[in-house]
Amino acid sequence: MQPTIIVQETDSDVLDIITYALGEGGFDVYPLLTCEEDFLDIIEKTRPHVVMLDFKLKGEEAMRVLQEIKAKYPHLPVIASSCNFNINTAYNRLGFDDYIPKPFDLEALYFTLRKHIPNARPDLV
Amino acid sequence: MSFRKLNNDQLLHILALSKDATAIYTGEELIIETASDAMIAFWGKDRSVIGQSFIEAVPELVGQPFFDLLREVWRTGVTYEAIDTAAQLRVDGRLQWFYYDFIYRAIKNDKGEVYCILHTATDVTARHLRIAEGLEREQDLQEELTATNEELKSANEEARQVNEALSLSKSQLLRVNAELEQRVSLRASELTTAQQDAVRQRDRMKRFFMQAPAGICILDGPEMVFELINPLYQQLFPGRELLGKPILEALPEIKGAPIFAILEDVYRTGKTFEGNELLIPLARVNDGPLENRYFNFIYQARQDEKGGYDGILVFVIEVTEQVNTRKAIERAKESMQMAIDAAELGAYHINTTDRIFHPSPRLKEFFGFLPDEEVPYEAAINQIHEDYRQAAADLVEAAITKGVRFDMEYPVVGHHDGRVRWVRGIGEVQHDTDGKSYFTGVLHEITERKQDEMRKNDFIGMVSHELKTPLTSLSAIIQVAGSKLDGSPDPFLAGAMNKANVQIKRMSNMINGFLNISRLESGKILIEKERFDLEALIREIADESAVTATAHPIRFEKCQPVMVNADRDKINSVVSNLISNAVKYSPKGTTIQISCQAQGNRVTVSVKDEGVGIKPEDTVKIFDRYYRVEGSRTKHISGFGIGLYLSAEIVRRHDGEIWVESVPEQGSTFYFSLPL
Repeated sequence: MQPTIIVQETDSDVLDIITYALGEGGFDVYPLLTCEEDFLDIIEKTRPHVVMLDFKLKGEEAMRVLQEIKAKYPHLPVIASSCNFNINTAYNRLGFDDYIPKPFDLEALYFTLRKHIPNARPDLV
Repeated sequence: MSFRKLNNDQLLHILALSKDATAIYTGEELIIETASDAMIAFWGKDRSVIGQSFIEAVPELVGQPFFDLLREVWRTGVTYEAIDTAAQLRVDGRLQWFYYDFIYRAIKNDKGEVYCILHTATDVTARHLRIAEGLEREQDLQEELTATNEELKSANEEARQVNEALSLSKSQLLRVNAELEQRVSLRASELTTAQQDAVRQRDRMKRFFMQAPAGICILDGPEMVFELINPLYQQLFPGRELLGKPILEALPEIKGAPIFAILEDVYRTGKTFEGNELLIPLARVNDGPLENRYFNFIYQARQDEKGGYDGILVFVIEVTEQVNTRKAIERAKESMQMAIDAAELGAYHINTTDRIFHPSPRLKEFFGFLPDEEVPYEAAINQIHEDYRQAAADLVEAAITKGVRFDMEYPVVGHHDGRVRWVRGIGEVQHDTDGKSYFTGVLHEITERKQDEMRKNDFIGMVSHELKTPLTSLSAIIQVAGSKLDGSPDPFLAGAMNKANVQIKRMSNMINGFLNISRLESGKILIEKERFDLEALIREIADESAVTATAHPIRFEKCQPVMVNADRDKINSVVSNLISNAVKYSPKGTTIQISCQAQGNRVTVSVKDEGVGIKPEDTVKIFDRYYRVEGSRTKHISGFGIGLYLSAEIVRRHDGEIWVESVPEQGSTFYFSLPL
């Protein structure tokens, strides 16, 4: 069974290539463009192993969604992907489980995501 | 048979001639049977008395006890003996007293019947008289003696009483004497002590007077003549003649001055005057210019024996210097306060012991309080934005306890209006002259600048995002395409994507570099330290660089793991920068050597290349912000000279050092060191 991942990315071109690349990498990808979606509902329906959020600038939106998810699914890994130069030090403080700097290495992307797959128990989600 | 030659009459006749006075009586009538001539002489009679009764013979004995005595002897037969008995007899026609020792012996017959009395007598008149005389004398003497004794006794008694009294008095006297002596000796020793004291005191006074740290002088009389001046007083007026002169003559400049009125007042009323930092214009030397001089002094009126005042004691210290210094300080303070006010700085100080917070009104305004509101320390701290509050409080603590300089920018939420202002606070612990220490400093508003900064940071963030987003797509697409084209038979296609990705990486790095410098321009680099293994980091970067800079073999001389406390990311960019420079400025195929060495309390990292090298005059400027070495060899090398500046900033912020050693045409070695 392929691991499922929800990817939220504001730039549609980036979202496209990530979706395609992850698909190539053996993931079931559920792509979202904005944070306006009902994440909890989608998570309920898709039972993902990992969620990746686009952390832009101050990241207020991403933080909001993060908190929403963690409130209901505290064990669901949430990863921040960001152009911010300091995401590597800020992610932890903000409450994310990991980060992906943009632009990213494809291999690094696969690696980081798979790090969190074995932990996730979709049946517990 | 009695053999007698003599007859009775002859016997009697001889016996009568005996010297001893004897007589014999018979019968109640006491007939004188016989009597010796001596006895008859005693009686002052003649022989005619023989045969007469004793009473008839010597009638003057009547009334005297003798006859009775004789009759008693005749009747009782008991002999009577007496001595020194007085008898009055008529002898030579005169009645005279005679004294006799005599015996009336009773002569008894065989039947025990008395038949005659033998009377023997001895005239002891002379003796008696003698004795009587003696007795009398004795008696007289005795009486005298007794009288005298009595007198003596009473005299004795008197004397005894007197003695007693005397003795009492004497003991009293002795006691009094002893007391007196004691007192006298005490007095004497007191006196001696007092004298010694007086002498000592006088000496002490003299020494005090001469050595006193204050000027002392005595003004005498209504003219206030300088009677006595100690050296310090004279020093107030070096070279001016004062002694013996009235004050107005010695110091004419005080005439009409308020100080002279004060002197007169003290002299008149006797009231002591104390002056504190009083200004008295006085010349220092003779004919010298008047100077504004300040004195602490006491004028004390001197009392004469009658209770009036006849002089003034003066104690004085010149405090001109202190006063002037203090005034200068006050002026400086005022200037500073004006500067603070003009710059609209908020000022504060906190007493480090009682931690009481003293904010200026302007400071209160910063925190959004009214200028006259009570603002204790906690109230002010609470207005700091919660994200910065703890850090600010910690830094204040460090400043107070460790003497670290407080310098921090933080946002403050106004207490009443809720507005956010940005302030920069600087402060330091300062020690006051009275031993207390204060944490004191100023605050000034940097809201505009901070907002600018934030706008800039936002802008940079946005730029970063805008630039990186297309790069992200580009990079991802190329990587995916690359993996698909990996096995392509066309050699160009097989490697094309990788080459393209390398360019993207370059562009990405440039953007990062530029964004970093922009961030640096608007404010400080934030150094967030953590402990990490420097050796591991360098190896990571070396390995990564090996991937991208395939044209240059990168050799990392392994060293021991070295733990440092630094900002990992920033050090990362420093090392990357040095390596990328080495790659950029050295020909293909030349080796880049990286080493890392810990020595003492520092670790030194070096990046050595065999490149174009750097001219000596450029080796220092090379770390300047926009400096790019001009030269034919470097013209074609792209990049904008920001990396070394940033690297230098980062290293210096870590209290490290960065430098280069280079030989033109041969290569350069860049070094940086970090404290351990």
